[in-house]
Amino acid sequence: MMTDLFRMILLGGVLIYIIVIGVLMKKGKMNLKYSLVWFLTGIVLLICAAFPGIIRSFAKLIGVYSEVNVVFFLGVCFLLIIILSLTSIVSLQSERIRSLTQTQALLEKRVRDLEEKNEVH
Amino acid sequence: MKILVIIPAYNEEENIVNTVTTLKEKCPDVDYVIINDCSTDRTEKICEKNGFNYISLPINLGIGGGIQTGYRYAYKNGYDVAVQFDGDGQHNAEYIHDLVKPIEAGEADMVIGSRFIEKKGFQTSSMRRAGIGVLGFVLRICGGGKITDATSGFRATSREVTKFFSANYAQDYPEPESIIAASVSGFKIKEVPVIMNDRTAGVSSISPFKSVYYMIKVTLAILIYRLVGKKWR
Repeated sequence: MMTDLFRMILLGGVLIYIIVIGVLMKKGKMNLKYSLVWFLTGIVLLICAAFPGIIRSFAKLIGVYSEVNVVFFLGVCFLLIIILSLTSIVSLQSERIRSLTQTQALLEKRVRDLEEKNEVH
Repeated sequence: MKILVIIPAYNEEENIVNTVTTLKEKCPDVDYVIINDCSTDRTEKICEKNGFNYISLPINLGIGGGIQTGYRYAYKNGYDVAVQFDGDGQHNAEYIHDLVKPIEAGEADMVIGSRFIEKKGFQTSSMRRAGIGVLGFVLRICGGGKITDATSGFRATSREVTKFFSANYAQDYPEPESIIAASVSGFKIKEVPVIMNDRTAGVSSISPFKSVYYMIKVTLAILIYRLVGKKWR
C-alpha cells in the first residue's frame, strides 16, 4: 500500500523536479537531447504518484509485494539509464577533445613552419 | 622510403637533447618529430632553442594521444614508415633500420623491437618480465601472434597501419592494445631483436603500485577488443 502522505510527497517532489528541468532548459543550461531521459523519469514517477492503481497492478505483474518498492525500483532503473548515458556522453566528449587537441597542435606546428619560411625569404 | 621517427616526450628536459643528437648522428637519413605532451618542465623551450622539429600539445593527452598525434603528422606528410621511439634514452637509434627493413621488404605491416628475443642489454625487473610474459600469452590466445615484448614502445608501422592508428589508437596503455587492434584488422606483425638501455635520467611513467591494475586493465582491454573489435579494412 502506498500511503496518501507518501503519494503527496512523491507528487510534490516530482513536480519540483520537472520545474527545475524546465528552468534549466529555459536558461540554456541543459540540452534538449540530454533532458529527455530526465523528463521521462519525472513523468513515470508522476504517473506512479497520481494513479496508484497502475502501480498496484504493475507490482502484481512483476511479483513485488509492496507498491512503494516498485516506485523505488523504477527510480533506480532510471538512474542506471541516466548514468550509463552520461558515461557514454563523457566518452564521446573526451574523444572529441582529444581529436581537437591534436588538430590544434598540428595546425600550430604548421603555422610555426610557415612563419619560419616567411622570415627566411 | 620516407621515414619519420616519432619521439613522445613528457618532461624529458634531461634526455631530449641527447636523444635527438644521437638520432641525427646515427640515422641522418630519417626525419623526426618530437611530441611534447604538455610538459611542465622546460622540454618545449629546449626544443625551440635547439631548432628541433616538434609539436606541442596544449593539453596533456597521455602517451596514446601523443603518439597518435605523431601518426597523424606522419600520415598527413606522406611518410612511408613511422617509427615510435622513446625520448628517454631507452631505445637505440642504430636499430631503427632493422625495424624498417621488414616493412620495406613487404614482410610485415608493423614491426616491434623486442628485448627478449636475444635477451641482451637491459632486461628490466623479473616482475615486469613476468607481466610482459602474461600479456604475450593473452595476446597469443587472442590471435595476436607470438609477441615476446608486448609493452615495447619501439616499433615501426607501414603507411597503412599509420593511417589506421591515426584514426583509432588505444589511449591509456596503448602498446599491448594496439597490437591486438592491428592484428584484428588483419595487419601482419613481426618482432625483431633490439638492445635497450636503462633510463639515463628521469622517472618511468609506470609505478610499481599501478602495475597490478595495469595488468588487469590491459588484459581486459585485449579480451574486449578481441570480442567486439571490428576489422578496419
